[in-house]
Amino acid sequence: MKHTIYIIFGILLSIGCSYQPTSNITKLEFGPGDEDDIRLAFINLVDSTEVNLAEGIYNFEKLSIIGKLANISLKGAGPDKTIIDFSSQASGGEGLRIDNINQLTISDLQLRESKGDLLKVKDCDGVELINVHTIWESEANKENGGYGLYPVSCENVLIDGCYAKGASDAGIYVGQSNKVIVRNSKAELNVAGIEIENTTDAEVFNNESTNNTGGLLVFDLPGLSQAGGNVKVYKNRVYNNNYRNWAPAANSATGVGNVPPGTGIMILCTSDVEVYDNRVENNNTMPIGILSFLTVDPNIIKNDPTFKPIPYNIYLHDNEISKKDEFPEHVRTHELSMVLVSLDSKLKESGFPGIPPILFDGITLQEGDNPTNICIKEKVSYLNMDVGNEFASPSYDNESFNCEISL
Amino acid sequence: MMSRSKYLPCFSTIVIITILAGACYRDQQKVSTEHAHFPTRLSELDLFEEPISNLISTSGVTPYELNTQLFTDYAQKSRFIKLPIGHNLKVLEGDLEFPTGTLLIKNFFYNKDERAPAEGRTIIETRLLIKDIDGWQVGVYEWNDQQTDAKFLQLGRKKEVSWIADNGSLQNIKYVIPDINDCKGCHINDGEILPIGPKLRNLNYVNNEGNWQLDSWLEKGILVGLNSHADADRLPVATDHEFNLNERARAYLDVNCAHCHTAQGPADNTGLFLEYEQKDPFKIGIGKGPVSAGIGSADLIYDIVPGSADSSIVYYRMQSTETGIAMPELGRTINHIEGLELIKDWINLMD
Repeated sequence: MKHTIYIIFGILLSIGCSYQPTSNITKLEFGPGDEDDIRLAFINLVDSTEVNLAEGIYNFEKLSIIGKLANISLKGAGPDKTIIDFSSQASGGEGLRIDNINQLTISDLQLRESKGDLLKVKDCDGVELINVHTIWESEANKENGGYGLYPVSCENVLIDGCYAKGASDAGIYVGQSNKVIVRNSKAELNVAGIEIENTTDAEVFNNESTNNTGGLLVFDLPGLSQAGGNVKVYKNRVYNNNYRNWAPAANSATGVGNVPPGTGIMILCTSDVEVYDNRVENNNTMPIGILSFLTVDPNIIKNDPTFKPIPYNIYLHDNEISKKDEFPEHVRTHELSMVLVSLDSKLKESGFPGIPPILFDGITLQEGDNPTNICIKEKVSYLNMDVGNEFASPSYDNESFNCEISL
Repeated sequence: MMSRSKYLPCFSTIVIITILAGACYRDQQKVSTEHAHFPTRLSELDLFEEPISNLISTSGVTPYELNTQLFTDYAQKSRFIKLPIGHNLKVLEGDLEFPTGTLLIKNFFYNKDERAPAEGRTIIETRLLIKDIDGWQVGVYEWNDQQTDAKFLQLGRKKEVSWIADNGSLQNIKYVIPDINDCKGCHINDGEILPIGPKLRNLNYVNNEGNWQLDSWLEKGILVGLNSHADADRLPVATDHEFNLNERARAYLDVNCAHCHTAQGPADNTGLFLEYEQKDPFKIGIGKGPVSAGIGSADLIYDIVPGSADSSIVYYRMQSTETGIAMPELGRTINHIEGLELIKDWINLMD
């Protein structure tokens, strides 16, 4: 029935109105105050609909589009002009939830202040998030929601020109997805700036991540639908990520609570990751870290025997890396950071230069000098921390890591 | 919907055409069962004898019971199924197949005094699932204060509800009638809308007189493809101590969590799978860290820590009513004391 009405709609519009819709696309236009009409439209949405939201502030408790649907776009007048506010969220897991759409575009708008995640896009194929801002204004507030931009279990994802601020977990979080591009975006004042989790074929470039606890994380978690891999991280600016770790999820190995303040780029137990041409500056604990899941949760082998906790085929090269020789203020209240701080003192006491900008935990569960193919070609030093043997014999700049991988 | 001024000149024409189109469509619906149609008033569907608030079903509308029920703020529920004439439910590979045209009906009400149900009740809403050629369609009806009828409602609503509980205490809540997308948000599985409650094993119910629901359905021809209830799996009754603690807890989690927490479900990205048949302890949450739980994991480490409900994220989230923490996310504004006790005991006594 709705199809019929919309077709009649379309014919009428093209005959009688000045507005000329392009063929087969239903255009809906709303302004502030139309919140109930927008919800109604989202409930009754048909394929190939473009929803335009005029400049202004819109207030919703929550909002969702649940498919299956195809060719849906939601457009604002600009991320500082069309503002969707979820301050009144009283139930549900997110501000805007999108489920099961083929070809989804969300552009030129701002989402802010939900209790849950701001924008969750799940089970969609062909996702474009362009000039979308997700913002919690209140700084380091544990009541801020978890994720800003959160595509999960999606295929063909583009995040372009987006901005994420204030997430109590990750600003931009791509989870369990395939064929992903994150570019020209900025994340600041989140616990983690940008996260690529259990995701394959991802390119992350021209982004800026600053003033988070950790700048950019690529990792796999156990027990999920797929392992990640084939991720390229290049030409990003990852700087000044020294903020205290204020995650409400403080202790779990799978949460961001374990990210040390002062983390630039962290690679956790995933495979086939190339990190190059990035500027990684002034992240003063661990500018780049390569860690196995065993470093954050030694019990994982017992709890999930199917999970591969070791990172392999990791290639770092041509990054500009610098850090201060002084830990960020807040490392002393953070457990994993304190491990690094004490390793640093121990090394210095033994006459070594302390922990360098690149850290590898050294856990491989295999014999050999470099059985997991960790390749590092950088101007700065790197350290195999030998975490598996309780830091018994850490080693700097081992030649066996001087290798190349082509992904 | 049409708020922009450039549309205004043709707005009235559109309204008229829309109404005409709607009217034509309705006429067509009387002869076609291909597409679900939700009339404005519940009474138009002739599901219940007048006065419909007695919820006495008309012929062809069959009441049914479930072994274990989803908790919805202590609302009482009465459930019915209506099959298209000449069709029946079929058991295929252990699952129920519903014919196109099936109507599932669920009424939500509160007794004024749980200690004396005969003193009256208030029906809040009736939810419908209609299976048409495109799949299951969702409809919600809100009952009026006079309890004479219920009106189709797409946007949901909050309603002040009060009743006297079993223990004599006065309960006041803001009951949430879901909007249609909220409904779909829980009923979606791998892109399709599916019924949640009426699974074969949960319908394998026996009443106090020892009458098996499925046997009665087989006898009446409502159900085919099964010889007897004994040939179907049976979901344990979460409130019946004939079943052991593990069976009761797992049945409770199945019904209250597994519509989302299952492969292809809305929460499958968390890797926490709580369907009754799940055997992998890690997937049930034992020793499993939270995934995308946001603020919901607090300072806890694992979803389930055997022996310690208080250290388990599953229990923590079930006993919170705070948005972002509370699980399930919808349909629960207060805690389910009995459900919490069950899960607490289950985790605390786990090896």
